[in-house]
Amino acid sequence: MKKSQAWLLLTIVCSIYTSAYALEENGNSLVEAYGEEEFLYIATGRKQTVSQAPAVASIISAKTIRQMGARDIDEVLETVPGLHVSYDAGGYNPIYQIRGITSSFNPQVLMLINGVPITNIFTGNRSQAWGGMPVENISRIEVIRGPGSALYGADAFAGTINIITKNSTEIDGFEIGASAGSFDEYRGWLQYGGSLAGWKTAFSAQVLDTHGQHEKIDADLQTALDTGFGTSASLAPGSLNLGRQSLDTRIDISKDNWQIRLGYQGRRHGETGAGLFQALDPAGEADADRYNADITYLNNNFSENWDFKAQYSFFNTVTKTDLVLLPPGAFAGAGVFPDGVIGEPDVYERHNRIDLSAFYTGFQNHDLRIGGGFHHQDQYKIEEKKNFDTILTMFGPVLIPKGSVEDVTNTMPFNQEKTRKIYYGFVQDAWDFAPDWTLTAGLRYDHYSDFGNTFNPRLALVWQTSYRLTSKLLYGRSFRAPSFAEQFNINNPVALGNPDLDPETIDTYEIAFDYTATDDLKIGFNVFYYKMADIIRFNPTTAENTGKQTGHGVELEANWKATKKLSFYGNYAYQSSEDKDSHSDVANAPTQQLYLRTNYELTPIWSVNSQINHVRDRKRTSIDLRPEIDDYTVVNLTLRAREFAPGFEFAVSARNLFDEDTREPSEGPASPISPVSIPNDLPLAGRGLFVELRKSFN
Amino acid sequence: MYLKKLLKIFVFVAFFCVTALADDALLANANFKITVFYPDVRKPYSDFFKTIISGIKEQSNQSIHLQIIDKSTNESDIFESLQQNKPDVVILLGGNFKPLQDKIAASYNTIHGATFFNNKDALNGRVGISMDPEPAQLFTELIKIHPAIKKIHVVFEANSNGWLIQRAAQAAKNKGLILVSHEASSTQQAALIYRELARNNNHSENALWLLHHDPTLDTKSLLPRILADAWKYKQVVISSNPSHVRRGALLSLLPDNQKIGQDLALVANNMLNGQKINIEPMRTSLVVANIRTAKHLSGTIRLQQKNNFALTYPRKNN
Repeated sequence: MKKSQAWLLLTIVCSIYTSAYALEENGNSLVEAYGEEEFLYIATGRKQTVSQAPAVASIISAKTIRQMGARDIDEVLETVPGLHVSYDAGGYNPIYQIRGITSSFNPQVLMLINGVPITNIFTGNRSQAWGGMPVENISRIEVIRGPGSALYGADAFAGTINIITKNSTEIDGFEIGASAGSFDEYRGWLQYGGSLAGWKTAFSAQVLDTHGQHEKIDADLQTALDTGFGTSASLAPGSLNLGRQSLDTRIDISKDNWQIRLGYQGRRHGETGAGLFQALDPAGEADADRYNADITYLNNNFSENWDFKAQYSFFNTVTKTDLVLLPPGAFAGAGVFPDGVIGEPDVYERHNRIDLSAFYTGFQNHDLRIGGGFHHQDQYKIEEKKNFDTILTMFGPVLIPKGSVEDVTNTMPFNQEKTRKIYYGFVQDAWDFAPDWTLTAGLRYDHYSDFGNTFNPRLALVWQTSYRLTSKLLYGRSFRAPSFAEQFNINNPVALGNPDLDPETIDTYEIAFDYTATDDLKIGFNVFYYKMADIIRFNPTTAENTGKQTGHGVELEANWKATKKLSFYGNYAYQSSEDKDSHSDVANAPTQQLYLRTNYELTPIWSVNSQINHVRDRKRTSIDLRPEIDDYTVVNLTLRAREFAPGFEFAVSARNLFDEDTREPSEGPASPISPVSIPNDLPLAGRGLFVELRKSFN
Repeated sequence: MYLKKLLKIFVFVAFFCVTALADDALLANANFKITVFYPDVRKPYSDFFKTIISGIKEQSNQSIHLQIIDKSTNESDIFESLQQNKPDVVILLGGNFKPLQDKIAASYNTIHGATFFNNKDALNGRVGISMDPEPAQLFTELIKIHPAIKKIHVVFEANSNGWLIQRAAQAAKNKGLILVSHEASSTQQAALIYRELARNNNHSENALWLLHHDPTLDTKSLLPRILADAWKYKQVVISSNPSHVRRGALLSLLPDNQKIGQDLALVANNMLNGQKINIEPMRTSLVVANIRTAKHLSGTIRLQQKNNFALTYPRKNN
């Protein structure tokens, strides 16, 4: 090749390369123009929310949720400092343990979807057939640790989890996606965000079909019964049963000051985990249908200095269960059950709410929020079929075979059709009483048609200490209303309701610091102390306000953007709680938790996200003689490719990468001499691999 | 007297309507072609260009041809396409390929958008909408929440932001404010000026305005010092760069992408009508404010975290 030709070729190659390179616009130059990625969303019309009382809170965005490869809300909540997700044997329903406050039904945590509670009044939790919640339609999750009753009312006790779903501006046109992986898990979703007939419209449908993880249970309650009665009915050692199917759909339409939201969560063939009676039950299933609707009017310029919001919301929840509480061949004190101990309790409830609130800014140095409302809770149908009766003897409960499954709805139901009316009013004032100092004081009054009145105050003193430091001193009182199971259980001599119950109460004191060390490093630190009273327990068989508990601890979190491509988030939580009745440490919740997440953008397309979660020092109850449950460390890894082809995204994710043996505590013994039903605790999933593919059309 | 005033208003309104109608009639009859080039970027940044394009389409009644520029596109593709389409106006979005932009601008009526401009661009007759917010709007928002301010200080490098400062001085004057511009040629020189401004001024009447892009404003080392000093001495700081608000500036303006698109279309129409066009800052009413800073500064009107702000800081995210 001649020299000149070589030069020409080189020049052409260089010019093509230079041109192609020069034409490539990357996101970073836009970040420079905008400063922050979130400006992009703001500019497209997402609304700001009115400020709440200062609290120790975490917000997890859709972006973070996707980066970590979470498939269910529990995986997200586990990353919040001071919050640990444990599980109950029955259905493996989640127990959101916040700052050491834990119980098997977990009614001490309030979960809201778009500010509306999804509490089931029967057990006070999210439903006994909860079945998880997928995350594709979640815009952000706001978690307040500590008291929230001054604003949210009942059950904002140990903490409040508010799930905000995506609106039309957050779903870009039409999106579809699917994931599949270990445990025969298949997910699919379809979402739309846009404008239809002048209404901003968001639609989402998410489906799931899974066999669930199937770790082994070595021994269960039936194993102990078999030992005592000489039978051999237990299915243990055997696998957990965690299969389920679910459908989650939501519609969100808005125009001017109006917003209408409809939602449905269907759960089918929800298997029983380690069994409601802590005896393996591969035949039992739970189904749930949960409908919600709300219509909201929001006017930010209602009149001079006034914002106004009015909302009507409706929530209908039906939980149906067909359970084999003890397996075929079981003997439970008074006869053999050839088909097993069968119980089929169903609960139907509906909730109607009207909430009004206004924000007034006309007073110098004050922001005033007032509101009130009405809430009608209606457990409108109870149905039950079963093949046993329960009697209590001096040796303990005995199950007597009926011979066949009978409908006992009208004769011996487990609970009652009941209603409850709640009227409430609140006032909150944020007063800037000196430069850099704000005192927020709030008080909410609730009148319950059953137990009467409750007042819950909130005080927050915020001091903007310096350019980089904000200090907060917080106090709040919260309450948990007794559930209908605790109030109205009947015909169950082991757990009888008590209509005269008072709510549980908690007083919490917190000192919190937010420190912006540099523009790229933020640190949060808080110290807390709480005191619970009137804890509702079946003591020994009837629900009573008996327990007292105190706790204290610290939480530390740090968020560091090391470079434009590399970011770290980590938190550490320590809590120590004491049961004042037994003068012993509160069992089951971790004393310490350590979490670290790293996100690295390898290229504009590829990114990798790693998470390490360490859970340690979970105590046993004072009468539980088992050795302490092992600490565990779980590593998750997600590799993601964004826009590898127009509109496409792909991810592969490993959960519990090193297949660590992870267990959550099973229920301890009822008395010092009784056996533990599941001695070797509740195993969590081993290593799982999942792939996901999504495509957006716009 | 009163009648005369009314008549004046009527004449003004009538003139405005006739002008507007004439413009519309002229443009409706014309069949001009506009080609919009925009870069291929990943989400969510692609939304930024999509919204601008949507604004252009909303405002313009011309025939609009869109062309994406991605990694595989090279200059010859672009010029081939231009020769085929023969656009009357080319709108170039994004600022990463200046040599190519200059080549296009040499042959076609070109408007630049979604980018920043310097003095040289202004002198060379570039036309477009800058990502710098309109200073007049920034000053209006400042006076709304801090009415006592009389003087606004700005430190700038003349070759980069001279055109903007000139415009801002007039805007300030129109609002009864005084813009005190401090020219600096290096970060060191600027740092000294910022320090003096923080320490030696009556901050109840003086505010500091930070520019979006200026070679003398180093965001890593100098900006944190400026903002820390501002906190210490209770100096009011506004900025053309909304990200400075997260770091502690009192307020800024966010780009309104739809509006940028509309304004680009208007510039195109004016260009087609043969009007002389310059570089214009972007117009927007999306205010971003720092509530924490507002509470710290005495004399600031109470900011409610309401919807009259597009965004408020501080925010808690992890």
